[in-house]
Amino acid sequence: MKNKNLLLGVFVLVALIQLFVPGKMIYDHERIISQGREYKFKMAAYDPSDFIRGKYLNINYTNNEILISKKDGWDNGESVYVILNVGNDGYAMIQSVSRIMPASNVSFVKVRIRSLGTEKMFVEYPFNKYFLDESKAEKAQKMINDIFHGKDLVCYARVSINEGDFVIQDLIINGLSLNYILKEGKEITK
Amino acid sequence: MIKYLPELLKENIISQDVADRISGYYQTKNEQNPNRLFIVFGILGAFLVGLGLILIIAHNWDELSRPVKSGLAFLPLIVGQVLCGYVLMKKNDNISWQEGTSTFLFFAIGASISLISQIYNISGNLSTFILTWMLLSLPLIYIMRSSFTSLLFISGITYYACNTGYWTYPYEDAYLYWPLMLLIVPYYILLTRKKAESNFVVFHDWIIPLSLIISLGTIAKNHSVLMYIAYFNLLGVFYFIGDAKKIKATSQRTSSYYVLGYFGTIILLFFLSFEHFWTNFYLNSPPAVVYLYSREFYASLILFVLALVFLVRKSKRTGNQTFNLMDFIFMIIIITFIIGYSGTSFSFILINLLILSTGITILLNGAKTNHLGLLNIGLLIITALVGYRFFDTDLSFLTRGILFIILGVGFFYSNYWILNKRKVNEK
Repeated sequence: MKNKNLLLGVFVLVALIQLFVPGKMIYDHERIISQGREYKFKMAAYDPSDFIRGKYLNINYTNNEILISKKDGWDNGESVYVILNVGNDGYAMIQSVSRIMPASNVSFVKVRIRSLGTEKMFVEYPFNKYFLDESKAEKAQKMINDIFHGKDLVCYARVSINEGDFVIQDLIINGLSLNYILKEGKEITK
Repeated sequence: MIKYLPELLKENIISQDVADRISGYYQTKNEQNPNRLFIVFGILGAFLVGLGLILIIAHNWDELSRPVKSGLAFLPLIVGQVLCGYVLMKKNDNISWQEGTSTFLFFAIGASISLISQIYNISGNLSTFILTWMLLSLPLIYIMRSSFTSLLFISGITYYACNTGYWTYPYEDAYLYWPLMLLIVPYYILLTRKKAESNFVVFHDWIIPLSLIISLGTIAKNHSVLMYIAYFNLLGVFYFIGDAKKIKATSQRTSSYYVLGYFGTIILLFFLSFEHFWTNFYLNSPPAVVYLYSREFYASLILFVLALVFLVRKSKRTGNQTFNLMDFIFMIIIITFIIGYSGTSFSFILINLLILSTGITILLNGAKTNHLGLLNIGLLIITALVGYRFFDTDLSFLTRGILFIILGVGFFYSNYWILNKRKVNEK
């Protein structure tokens, strides 16, 4: 009986941890939005499907490069911190890159080095998935493909960043939210 | 047996007392062994419901508001937890309930994390997601004593290792796979001790070595050629475990470790039997000191020590009565690599001789024990060796043709000879 009670106690603890993890995910989401700073990231997208987590747009960003000096000995695939700033065009840009975690008073994210040129480093931002309703993913993909093949539209992601944590708030196409466009069935025009 | 009892009683072959004892024996036996079919359907039901749940969630319901969706995300998790809690309190000895509810909760955990990721657009990569899922599910295996959850867990961490180590570019380490695998070992040992005859032991016996074989390669980074040594050592360890189990085995089951270790070694030997492999190894090798500081070297070293321990244990157990070439292949491989590093073609010859002698040993064993399967496997190994060597050498078509005819006749004759021998024995 004593053993059974102990087992039950451990199970309750485990159950609480199991509930805590998704709960913490929601809490962090709200914290980043309320305390973080919002950036606009210029984007490109395509549509694969994650077999467990459903349909999403896998987003590539355009402002993902920074000039580097060869001497720093960076490695492909290495995890580094990029400190962000807003460029003259109003979009996020990488100000500097560091192996050490920056102070909390600047906006930064942990990224992976995607490729290294002779003087340039290209990074992969971690906020690269935008989940969509199954019925709308295909339409969204087609729409975004059209945008990147001819139609010269402004397309960016609103991302909140707080001490290295991040949340994609919305995708904006020509001033309108992607979710709104898909819901209302709007046509995108320049 | 029970259905024949009335007939045996009627014919006065057994007494009423014996009949009662027989039926009593089967009744208690049935009570001790839960209905296997019920366990299978319990697990299958929970498995399908769990998978269905994930697919429904993957639809990503836009029509529902965010708070409703968040509530729904927690629903399967809470239902699974309540069911498991109920089983712990009221049906603690019922395997079907334990397995069914744990399987359901396992999937509910994955479903609720992924649903929250979707609703709140929390990117995260697939590896982190699976890792979180597996870590949250691990205690279930021990608390609920659920073997099916253990199998799902092993599959999950193997997928994590593959996704991180093989399918992610640029390369990422999957080191966490190893401690996670270690965490399942106590359960595996308990299972083999307490329920040695259970089918779950057989499943674990296959899935654990297979998972290790699949995941070992994720260690490779810059000097992947050294992983051959690591793999030979790992397969050597499996071979020794299987060999020890074969002696202890109470049932007639073939040991998965033995099969994987033995035939894995032979298949791997074939990889190394090509001359160009050794030429490339010699031409592309960095200074020895670079190898000595590589992670591939450390992996090989650890596994080598482990294989050596098993070899010593085996020789203590058997007292070096019979020489078995397979016992020493993991050591011979290291010698061939050292020789190959110096650039002589001796390694190439040595590997081919190893395959040939293994083939012949199996063939002779088959002949000695009248085992057609072994005999043909031995012949197949020799034929494959001859076939592969045609790629390397400049033998004329005539010679190749004659060699194959000899092998074909060999196949025919040896099978005929064994079948004949059996007939004589039967007479």
